[in-house]
Amino acid sequence: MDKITCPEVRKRTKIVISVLVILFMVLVARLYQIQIINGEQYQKDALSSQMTSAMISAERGNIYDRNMNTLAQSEQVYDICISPMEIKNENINELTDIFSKMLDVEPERIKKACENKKSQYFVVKYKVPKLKAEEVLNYSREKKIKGVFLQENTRRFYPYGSLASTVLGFTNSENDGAYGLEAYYNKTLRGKKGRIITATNAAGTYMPYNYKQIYEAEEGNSLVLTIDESIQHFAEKHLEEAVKEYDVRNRASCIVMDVKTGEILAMANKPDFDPNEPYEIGDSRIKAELEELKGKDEELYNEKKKEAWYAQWRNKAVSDPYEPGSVFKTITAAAALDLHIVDPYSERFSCPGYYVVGNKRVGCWKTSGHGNITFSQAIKYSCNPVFMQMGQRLGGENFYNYFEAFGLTKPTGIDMPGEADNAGLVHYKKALSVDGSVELPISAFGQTFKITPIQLATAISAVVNGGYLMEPHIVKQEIDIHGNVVSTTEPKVKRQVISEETSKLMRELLEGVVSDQVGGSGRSVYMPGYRIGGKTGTSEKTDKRIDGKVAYWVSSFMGFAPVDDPQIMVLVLLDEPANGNVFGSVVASPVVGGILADTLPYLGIQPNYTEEEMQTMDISVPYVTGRTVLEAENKLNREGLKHKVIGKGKTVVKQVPSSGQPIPRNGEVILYTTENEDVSTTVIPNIIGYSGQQANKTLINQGLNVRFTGVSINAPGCVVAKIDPPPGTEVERGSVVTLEFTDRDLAG
Amino acid sequence: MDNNTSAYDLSAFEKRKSHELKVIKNEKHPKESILARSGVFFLVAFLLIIVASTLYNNAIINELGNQIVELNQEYAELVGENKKMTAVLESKVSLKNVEEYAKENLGLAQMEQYQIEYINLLPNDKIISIKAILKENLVQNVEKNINLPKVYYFCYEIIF
Repeated sequence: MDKITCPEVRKRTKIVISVLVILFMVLVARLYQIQIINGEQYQKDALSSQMTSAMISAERGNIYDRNMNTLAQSEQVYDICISPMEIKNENINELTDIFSKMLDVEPERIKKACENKKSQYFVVKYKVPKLKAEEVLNYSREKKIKGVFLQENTRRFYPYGSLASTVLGFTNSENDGAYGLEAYYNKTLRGKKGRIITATNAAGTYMPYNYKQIYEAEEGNSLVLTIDESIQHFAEKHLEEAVKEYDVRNRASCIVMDVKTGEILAMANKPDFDPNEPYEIGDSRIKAELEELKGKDEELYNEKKKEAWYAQWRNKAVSDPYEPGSVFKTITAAAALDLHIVDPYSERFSCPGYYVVGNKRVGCWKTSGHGNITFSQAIKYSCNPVFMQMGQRLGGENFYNYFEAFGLTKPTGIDMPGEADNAGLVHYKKALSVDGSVELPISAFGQTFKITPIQLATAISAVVNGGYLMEPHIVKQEIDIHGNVVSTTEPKVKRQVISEETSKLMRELLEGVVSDQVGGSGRSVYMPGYRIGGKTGTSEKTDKRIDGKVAYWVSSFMGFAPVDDPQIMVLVLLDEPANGNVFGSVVASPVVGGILADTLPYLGIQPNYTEEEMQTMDISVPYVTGRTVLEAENKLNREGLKHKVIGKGKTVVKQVPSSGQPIPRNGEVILYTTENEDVSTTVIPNIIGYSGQQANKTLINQGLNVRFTGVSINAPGCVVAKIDPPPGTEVERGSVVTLEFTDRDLAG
Repeated sequence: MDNNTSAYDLSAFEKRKSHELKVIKNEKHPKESILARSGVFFLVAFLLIIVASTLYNNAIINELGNQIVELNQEYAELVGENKKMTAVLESKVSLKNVEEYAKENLGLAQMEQYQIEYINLLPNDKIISIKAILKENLVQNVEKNINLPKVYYFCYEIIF
């Protein structure tokens, strides 16, 4: 065998092998460094570039009314974003133009952002609706402008606009609750965000069939409220009308409560706002005032604007205490009757028009005095002197004990944010128990202390529901995304404050306030077919005097029905009515009347008329045209209507009033029996301010039928307030004229 | 001395026949079998196909995955849009809107008490109720299929 024994070759071989070994060792060392020493770091880096983690946002829960109408839900919107790095300089102007026109964004801001070429991300506008966002994107694509993209976001949407806005509140830009129930129940509604960790491909999208780990989001739970959308509408509609008619300056609030369960069926405040645009001022008067300031004094304008925002967002039914006035007499009366310290029908009191306490002379709203009256009459007429005496008879300790028992010294615990604590705004036992205390008798008729509307509504519900103080609540149920009930709010009885017998007696006495059509201060709320009880209130704002004199009032009324088995209670207060009368009986009671007129039939509580009511109710004029005169006469007689025949024909060719018109039962229908007969006409006179008797006589003499609405014409101070058709209108004889009466003597 | 020539291998010096190297041109080697050749080809092709189809599969899976993601996103958007439109529809038929439309557009007014006739019932009075019957004939079945409203027939029934 041949061997290569050349030493040169051997030497070269050794060198090469050495080099190879050295290189190999370097390689091994490098591998050791990469895989062992830095292995963990590189693994992390590899994972971070191959894997991606993204938040899964949790859908915010909805808010429904008690009938599952959606009051608040989330909708998908988009943030319009740009990548300034990708935007060419020649496109900046066009892009700025698009955004300023389509999105109403300041052009300078966009230009400045586009010029920052280091940036890859800039938000032009947040939360743009889908259609608008797509329009912007498509337009920029058409113009071949790169660097515009959309980013998903959500926005809260309130389909009913301003309905129950002060109750619902609204969310901020982070989709967290800022006010109202959105804030109070934020944790429930918000849910918990999840996370998805998955491999991504080169395009950056998920690879679903590769590695994926999901931490599921917990969707927010939804709320079912006790609020009824229809009743809420009734309350807001009538409240809005009153605010306009009486030019209410400060606030108007209304609470409709189920007296048996404490459920809030409606809670309305004016001025309010549209939670879809919470920063828009809802009240046109305030908006106009702000517009005047704008440009003149920027600092004051900004300050006033903020005040206006907070005022409209605030739920004044729970957060603004006020002096309740005569509506509070309900509580004083309940306490006195529960302690059996007065007989409501037999014992008599004197009201000369004032009452002296210490060195203070406190007037009654009826300056001439009510004379000698019973306690039940004092409730009906809302007599201050009688209640001052009752307060003294109760004594400071008893008065305070009932005051406290009715829950008027602490917040009610309603599940709403911002409920005011009126500590420091009421008189305590010590002050009330001092001999010759002035605070006690004045407090007895609802002045010199403050409580919130929700405290008063809850206390009055306890007076009429058998004596049980309920905890008011606004959320009925919490449900999950599948509709399963997570929790239910059960009615909670805090305590029994008065006996059931006292409650029954109070209901009867309060019914007198409405049903007594001669003297009842709340007689304007009377509705045939329904037994309604109530109490008027007109309180002075003693902490807002001008030159030491009272200049502002709060008009209020509390009504409940039906008296024999109360279902609902309505409390309305109008803070600072500025258009004429300020009495609760004139200003606030028609609001309650209107709400009850709409709500009671809605709840299935149908009218139950007495014989007397049936006899005095208006009827619809029957159709007798085309009938023989005899047939027409018989028909009209059966309906209790009078008639007058004009012409010598045998068939009725025309009738006045026409069929379907309302007419009082003893009204007259004119029957024309000849074609082309001259129809006699007359002009409606101006009888505004006339008494019932005078107005009736005047119109009957002119051959017109008269229909009465408003307060009873038998009440002494009753006068004509409105005429329909209006004075000066020429009408056919026999036409029906509707008169609305008001009572000059209606009390506070 | 012997005549021994073993110390010297003289044969090594003898003339040897020179090997003649023949150059064979274009000698044809014996042919390999077609089966063997094609076997290799098919094997290679098969391997290539496997690799290609694996790559193709992955690409398709990724593509489908992208489509699924997009469609899911679109579905979520449409579900959200549907929810919003349902809520908007509910609000359009809210009591407030219905009242406003009835008063302002249709000139209707809320029914008043005088328009309702109240009667006193005596013990022997009969109660008449209105019962609605849904009736579909052949024409209406066809109409139903093209989304026309159904026709309701009302009839009176005396309940004793």
